[in-house]
Amino acid sequence: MPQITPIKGFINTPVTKKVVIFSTIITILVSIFQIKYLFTLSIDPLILEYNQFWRILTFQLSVINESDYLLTMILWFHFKNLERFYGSQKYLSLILILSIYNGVVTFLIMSLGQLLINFIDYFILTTFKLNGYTYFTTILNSIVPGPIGILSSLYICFGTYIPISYQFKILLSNPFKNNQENHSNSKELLLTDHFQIHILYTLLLFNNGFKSFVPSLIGLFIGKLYTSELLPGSKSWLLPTTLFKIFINPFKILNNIINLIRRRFNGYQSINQIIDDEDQNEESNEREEIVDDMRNNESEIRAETPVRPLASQFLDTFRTRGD
Amino acid sequence: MNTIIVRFIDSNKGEQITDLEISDTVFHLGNIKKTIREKIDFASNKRLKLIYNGRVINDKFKFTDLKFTDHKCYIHCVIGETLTIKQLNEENELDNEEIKQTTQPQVIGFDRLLQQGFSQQDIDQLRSQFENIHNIDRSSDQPINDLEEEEQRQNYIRQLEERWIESTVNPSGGTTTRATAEDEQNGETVTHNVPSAELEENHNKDLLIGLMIGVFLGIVAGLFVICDDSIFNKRQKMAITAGIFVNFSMAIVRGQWI
Repeated sequence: MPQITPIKGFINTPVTKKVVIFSTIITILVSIFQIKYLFTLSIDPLILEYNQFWRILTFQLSVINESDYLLTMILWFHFKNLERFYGSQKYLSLILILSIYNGVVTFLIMSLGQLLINFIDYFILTTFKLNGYTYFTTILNSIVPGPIGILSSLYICFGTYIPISYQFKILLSNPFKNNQENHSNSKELLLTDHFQIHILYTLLLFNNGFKSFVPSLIGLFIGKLYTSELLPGSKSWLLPTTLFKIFINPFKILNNIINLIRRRFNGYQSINQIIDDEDQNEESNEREEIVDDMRNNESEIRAETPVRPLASQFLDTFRTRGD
Repeated sequence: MNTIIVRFIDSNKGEQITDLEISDTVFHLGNIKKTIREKIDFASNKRLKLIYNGRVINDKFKFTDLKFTDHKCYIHCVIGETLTIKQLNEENELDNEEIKQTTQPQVIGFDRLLQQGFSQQDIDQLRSQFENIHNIDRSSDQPINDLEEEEQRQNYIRQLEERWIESTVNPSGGTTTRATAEDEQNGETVTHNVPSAELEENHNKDLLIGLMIGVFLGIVAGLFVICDDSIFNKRQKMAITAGIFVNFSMAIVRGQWI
């Protein structure tokens, strides 16, 4: 049974679960309806000519190619540990804050950076009295869409806050050959249990060339600011609980609202029942996860029990009846 | 002239004691015990308990109730532990104590199951199920319950439960224990049925989700399955595999690979 994280499945990590589900659904919808163009961000034609500033909000919502999708999903999956570390609500707040900072800062660096490069070019040309300056697009012009900046910041958080649980060495030379003088460090590779995240992140970093390199670097920088507590508002801000609940379990909230409205129209009720209902709701809130877990186990067991042939099914029926 | 034949059962001694015949016109408990003590040395200082027709004979027992066939009547005598002289004098009191009438109100309804070893929780659950099945609305008829009404309602529900239990007793010689067993079975089956129904529902949901993931994500879904076993359960994995096949066959049908 391969299991790449210490946490089994999505147990007690509702935010990660919802993030993974939503980003999968959005990605598939984007692909099916062919609306990938809504999520790209580039300075030259889109912002400068068409003034589409809403792209600052949308470009982090969805990835548009499959390798990005795979890498981001696996990284989100690994960052379950962070959710356990922060607590679900704080983790969701952190993701939101990082997405806002990343969006804004990425946009600023892209536009100002491109302007700066153009200005330097212009300056050089004018100082040396050369003609022929035209505005040109640089590597900062466009970036790949997707939550790459957020994941980079979370990567920094992961490295800072999640402790290393084990290390292991890979010897790069033959250990049986001249045993005595073989302890030079250059022939060993020391790895920790974080090594898969490093590999995955490096892949993500170079996956789209400069288009992914730029937002990743900005994300790393913001993550570094966050871990050294220099990012204003990020430590204390919490998402309101109602919003958090809506994000975690939209259907249940909807159900509750429908119940509430129905109750309004049903006229008076005894206090007992209302209190009962509320108690049950609260209890079910607490128990739901446990029950979920149990149900998963149960269904797993059920899925793994061998199928009984028809004859034994009949026999079993009569056996229980006979008793 | 009638004869009482006393048969002995000794709880300590395994040997058989020969029957004792007492003939008299009028019987009295004290006399019978006295004669037994005189005639049988072994029982002189033992506790004696006389049983007739399954009932303990004590002071309240009317000896006219004895039914004689051919002027004979059988009584069992249980020989118990050794008693002191003082206890011997008070022996009759001990017999009288045996049948105790409880002053508490009779337990009815599902509360009877408490004596069968059910916990209060089980009973509450059974009761709520019963109320659900029989549509006993908890409070809608009376918006405000005061204590007395609440008590009446409780009584009413208990009566219903009692009636239900009685009605499930098998008419052909079924006893109350049978009824409670059946009752218990019903309760159990009901509580077991609910999660299994839910499981069935989940079963289909799992299949649908797995198939969707397989069809839409294609080979990536396969990577997820191989990567980490703990995300999907076995059924979902099977559905994902099926979905990937659907995905591939779609590609072939569209001629993407050729």
